[in-house]
Order: sequence, then C-alpha cells, then structure tokens
Amino acid sequence: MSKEEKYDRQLRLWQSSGQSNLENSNILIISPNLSSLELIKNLILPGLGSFTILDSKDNLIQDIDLSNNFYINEEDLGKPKAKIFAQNLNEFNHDVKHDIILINENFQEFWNNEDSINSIKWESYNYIVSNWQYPELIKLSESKDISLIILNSISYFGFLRIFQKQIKVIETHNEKLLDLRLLDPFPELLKYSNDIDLHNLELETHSQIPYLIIQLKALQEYQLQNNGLTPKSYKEKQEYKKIIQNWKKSYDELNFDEALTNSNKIFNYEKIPQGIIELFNKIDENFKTNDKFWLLVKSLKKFTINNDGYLPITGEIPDMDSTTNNYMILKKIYRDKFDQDLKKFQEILFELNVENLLFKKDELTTFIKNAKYLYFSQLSYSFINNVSSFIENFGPELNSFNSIILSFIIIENYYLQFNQLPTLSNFDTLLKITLLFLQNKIKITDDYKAVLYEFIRGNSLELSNISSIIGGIGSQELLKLITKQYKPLDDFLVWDGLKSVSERFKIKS
Amino acid sequence: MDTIDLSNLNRQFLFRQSDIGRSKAEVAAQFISKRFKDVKVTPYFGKLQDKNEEYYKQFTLVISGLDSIEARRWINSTLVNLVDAEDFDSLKPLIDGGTEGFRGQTKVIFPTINACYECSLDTISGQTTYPMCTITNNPRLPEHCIEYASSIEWNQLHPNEKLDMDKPEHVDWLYQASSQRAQEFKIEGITRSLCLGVVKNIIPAIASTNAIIAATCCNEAFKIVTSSNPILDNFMMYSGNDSVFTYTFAYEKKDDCPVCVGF
Repeated sequence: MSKEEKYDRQLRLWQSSGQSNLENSNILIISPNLSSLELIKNLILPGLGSFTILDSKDNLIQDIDLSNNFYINEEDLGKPKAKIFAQNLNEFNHDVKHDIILINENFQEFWNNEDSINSIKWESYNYIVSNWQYPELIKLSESKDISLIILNSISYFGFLRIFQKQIKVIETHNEKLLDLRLLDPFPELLKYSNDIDLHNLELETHSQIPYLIIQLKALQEYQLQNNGLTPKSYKEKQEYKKIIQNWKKSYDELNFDEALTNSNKIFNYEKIPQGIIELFNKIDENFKTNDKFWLLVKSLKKFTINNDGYLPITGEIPDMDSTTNNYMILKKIYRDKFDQDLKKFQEILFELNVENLLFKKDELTTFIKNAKYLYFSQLSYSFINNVSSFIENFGPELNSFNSIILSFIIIENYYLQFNQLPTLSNFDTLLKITLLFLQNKIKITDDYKAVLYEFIRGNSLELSNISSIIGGIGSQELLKLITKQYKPLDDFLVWDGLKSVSERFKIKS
Repeated sequence: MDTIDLSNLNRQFLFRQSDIGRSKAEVAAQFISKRFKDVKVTPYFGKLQDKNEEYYKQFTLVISGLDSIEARRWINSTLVNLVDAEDFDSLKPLIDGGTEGFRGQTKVIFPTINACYECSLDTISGQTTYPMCTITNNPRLPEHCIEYASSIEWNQLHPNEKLDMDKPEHVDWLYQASSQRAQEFKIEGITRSLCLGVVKNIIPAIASTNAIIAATCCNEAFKIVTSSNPILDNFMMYSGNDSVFTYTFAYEKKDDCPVCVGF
C-alpha cells in the first residue's frame, strides 16, 4: 500500500514537507473529552507520528459514556478510559504509534504535586492538548516552550485557544504569489518588450502577444501622454484601459481582453507589504544567529535595501493566451531574474550566517517565493482570571457573545475548584462565582444569565455535534502549526452553535 | 454508486483497509448499526435518480454530502417538486454540506420557503476548463499537456475504450504521453499526481474539515428535529486557509429561479 496514494488528498494541501513534519510529531492529550478525541482522530487519520493519553487511573468508562462517546463499546465498561481510547483510536490508522500514562491521583491533586508533575517527560512532546487551562500547565507550556492547545465544548458552545511563544510561517499559501513588476520593469523585461513592434504585427501574431507585454506598452504610452505619471484615480485608470481597448484589432483577441480584465491588479502594487515592514521592524528584538527564520528575514531586509526597495521576484507568471513560444520566452525572463535575485540573496545570507546553518536550495526557493506573505506573531500566555483582563480583552459589555466567553471562564473556575462539572442545580453557585469574578466592575445582565443557563441546562454535557465542530477546528489549527504551513488561529476562538458563528480574539499580554 | 478507495482512508473513519472496493453505503451502514444498536440504517447502493418521489417522501429530512453540482441540483429540484401546499409533511428540509481543503460550507434549505440550491447556483464555480485551441496548438502549462493526452490522444488511439484513472496501466500511459507532449514544447512540471488531479478533478480533502462541516450539518438537523434552538438561516461558510473565518448569512430566494419559482 503506497502512502502517497493513501494520503494523496492531503498531500495536495501540504506536500511531503508538511507530511514529514506531521509524521515526526508527538502529541500528549490530557484526560480527553469528546472534543479532544475528535481533534486527535483528525490527526490520526492523516498519519500523525504518535500520541499519548495522560489520565487518572480511576477515570473509568461508565454507562453514560456509551450513549455519547463514539470511541467505546459495551464491552469496555469499567475499564480505564485512556486505555480504551488509545486502543480504539489506533484502529483508524496503524501508521500511528500510541501510548498511555496513568496517574494515581486526580488532576487537582496532580497539578498540586511537584513530584507528579516532574514524573512526566514533557519535553518528549511537541504539542499538548487539554480541555482546561490549568495554571500549572500554562506555566509549564511557557517555561518548557511546548505548544499547548486548549479546547472544550459545553452545550452548544465551543472554545479554542493556542499557547505558543511565536508563530512563524513561511508557506502561508497565499494565492496572490505573483509579482510582475510592471510599474518598474527590470531591464531584461523592458528590452524584450521594446523589441516587439506591437502595432506593425500581422493580426495573427498580434493576437498572440502575452497580455503582460500589452499592459507594459500601454503603461509606457500612458506615461508618454501624462508626463511620466502612472494612473492613480479611477478616471486615469479608465484612460489607461482605453489605450488597450483602442489597440485591439479584432473582437476575438483574447490577449487584449485578458490585458483589460487583469489591469487593476497592476496598480494595487506595493513594493513591500505592510506586514513585511512590521516583520522587518521586529528583527532587532528577535534575531539570533542560530534561528533560521530570523536569519532569512534579516537577509531579506538587507536584500531590499540593496535592491531599490524591492523584494526578490517570485519568478512565477500567470497563464496568458499566447503561443507556447512567446509564453516560454517570457517565463524564462522572469525565471532568470528569479535566479539572479536568489543568487544575490544567497550571498547576503552567506555573510550573515556566521554559524553556518544548513540551508537547502528548496528551502531558500520556498522562502523567496513566499517573501511577500511571511507570517509572524507573538502570542500571550496571560490567563484571563480577573475582571480587568476580561475587560481589556473583550470590553466592558456583557452582551450575548461576551456572555459565552464569561460563562466558559466561570465554569472553568468551578471545575478547577471542585474537580467536577457544574449541573443545573449549581446555577446559584455559578452566579456567586460570577459576582466574585466581576467585582462590581461589570453588572450581570439577563443575557448572561440566559447564556449561562443554556450552558448548564444539559448539566454541562458535551453535545456530539459541537464537540465534533470544535475538535475539527482545533485539528485544522494544530495541523497548520505542525506542518508550519497556512496561517493558524491567533490565538483564541469561540464557537456559537446556536447561530453557527465564530468570533476570534487576540489575547493581550 | 460510490465504492471505497485507498485515498478515502485519510479522512473517512468508518472504513478500514479491508473494506477497499466495497460499497461506501453498505460498509458505513454496517459500522453504524454495530456501534449504535438502536439505530436502524438502511444502505442504498445506487443512483439517486433511480428512486422515485415515494422513496424520498418517507424521510423527515435529507442531508447531502454529494460530490457534484449536478447531483445537488437533482436532489434539490426533487425535494422542491415534492412540496404540496396542502400537506405540511411534504416539506423535507435539505441540509447540504461540502468541503474543499481547509474550506467548507453548510446550507439549510426549506424547499419553496427559502433560497433553494438553484437560487444560489451563480455563486458556485465549477471545474476549470481550457480552451481547445490552447490544448491543441499553444500549450503553456503542464495541465494543457495532460488535457491533450487524455482527451485527444487517448481517443485517437483507443476510440472504444474510456481512459480509466483507476487502472494503473492507464495512469502510466497518461503520464508517459503527457510527459512526451510537455517535452516537445519544453514545458516542465508533469507529475503522476498532477495527471491524476487534472483528469479526476481531484479536490483536496482532510478529516478536520469534513468533521466541521458534517457536524454543522448534523447540528442543524438536530435542531430541526428537536426544536431545541433556532435553525441556521441559511448559509454558513468556513475557511481555515487564513486563520479561522466563518461567515453566516441568508441567501435570498431568486425571483426567476427555474426550480422554486411559482410555489
């Protein structure tokens, strides 16, 4: 059985580089609920390296689990959950290794016992998944620099937060990777264009000139008529388009149509996007000679300084109606320019790379092609455990959406205090905890009471549908972190299954 | 008439390697019945279009995870035509889900009441196609060469046989033929994976997105049958390509919809 064939549908998203990151990952899941089981299922199917379930040895399968947990069977009643989950999850994919760790105490006791905490080899895991924000776990995630995913679902609501020092993504898979430089053509492109005498061509040849050349010539024409300026306003752009329109010799010249439909893109050009400028500004505080990402970014910045403010060219051109030959010539012009830029970039990198870190050519090519859309973010480890951090992050109003967030926080407080989930009979206790939390700085609203009631009217049980949604979202985000491709959530998300809507927040430090 | 393929196992968790080649409907039904003894699942391994109105009338609602626009249009118009103003039970909600890579969408259709699938058709993009003259005379991309080999060369060589990407020898042939064509035009980038992708119109798929969309579909079905909370009105799109983005809005019924207008 070939792995390429089995994993074909996902390799088309993250290629073998992403797959190999996935196959080398080791995940620890702390006392999984339905949401974490859904998350891990979605990582086992695509071929995660290995996973370990950490749970209390007294957490046994009960009757109620049979009714809502897909991963157990009748004959599993009374056995430790971790053991059965690991075994049954493994059925999905035998490529994945699995393990369990059973602890003697409950988690409240565990997090209060340093010896117990130290008995776990945390460093052997790349990612930890937990349903609750145990303060000790968050500290550990920060001090040992292990990424932590918190996800949970109660009633119709879901909750997801990522704890990781920094997120650095090179392959963001931005669909706009093109960089054609029409406003400021490089000499080779200009020469090729100038050698084409567009207006004296036979109709057949005229209709096979790639639209890029038409756009470039129209721009020159416009500048000739307008003191060298480029079109900026809507009216000016219309005038520019009119030039192309007038040059069209026959109604069926597809290349001229393409030149027109793609002309707005030329003017939306920025030499260096804002995001990359901000990234450059962060070099000084983050640069380390042994950090490949920052070494590449610093080299990139230096490259732009030596290169008239331009990033290296990506070397890619879109498909354009033309003969094979015309297209290939143009492609080669861009490709050669890319090679030149790559060479210059390598020279700069070589100078800065004092520790001689190994860079493969593919790695550099990928970096340069994505240079316009690199992603970096610094995440917060701050834990929302008081009203001022709540207000700072979500505002002073207790509307229906903030009520969902606050309900989660209050139920989490209850859980961490009593080591069990609240039921409907604990509604008043939850309101008391809320009052204590809000310290008169926010007033409890009817909206909040209604939402809190909705949370616990099913005794805080998870609904299969919602756990599957939040587990699905969590697994997408974890896959992005693991493959180091696509931009992940940064860093907190709430799902409202009543309305099928989500909200994102970036938690402040 | 879908059967289980090795490439399904990366996301379809009711199937095991030993099920490859068997009917998806039958294996899924067997699995669910075994795990949930109180649930009665009846598999039907056949064409949607072979069942008549009476068949579709027996259900409370329909959830579809179909793989083509055509099949979706068919079930949509069938359920619209089922509606009888005199009979409330003739209204069968249709919940439609679909995914592509990190993206997906869920639609809740109450036939004749809100926008039907057909009403939203102009927002749906179909398969990429290439102009004939590009394929025959001016290929520029590897895809153009694959199209030439699969739609022109193959038919010339084998007028009576269909090119079948499930047969390894056909894939081999296509890879060779497209590579040769590409070489002739000095085009780079032909791979087996690309050949398969172009001819089978492969859409990337992962378990995570399927879980999100399947679960939102079930969540709406659950709310409809239990009346426990308001129902999605009527469209939700999910995108995980760039952080997490969801968008929920109501499609409007189209005044000139060829399927649901006049009801």
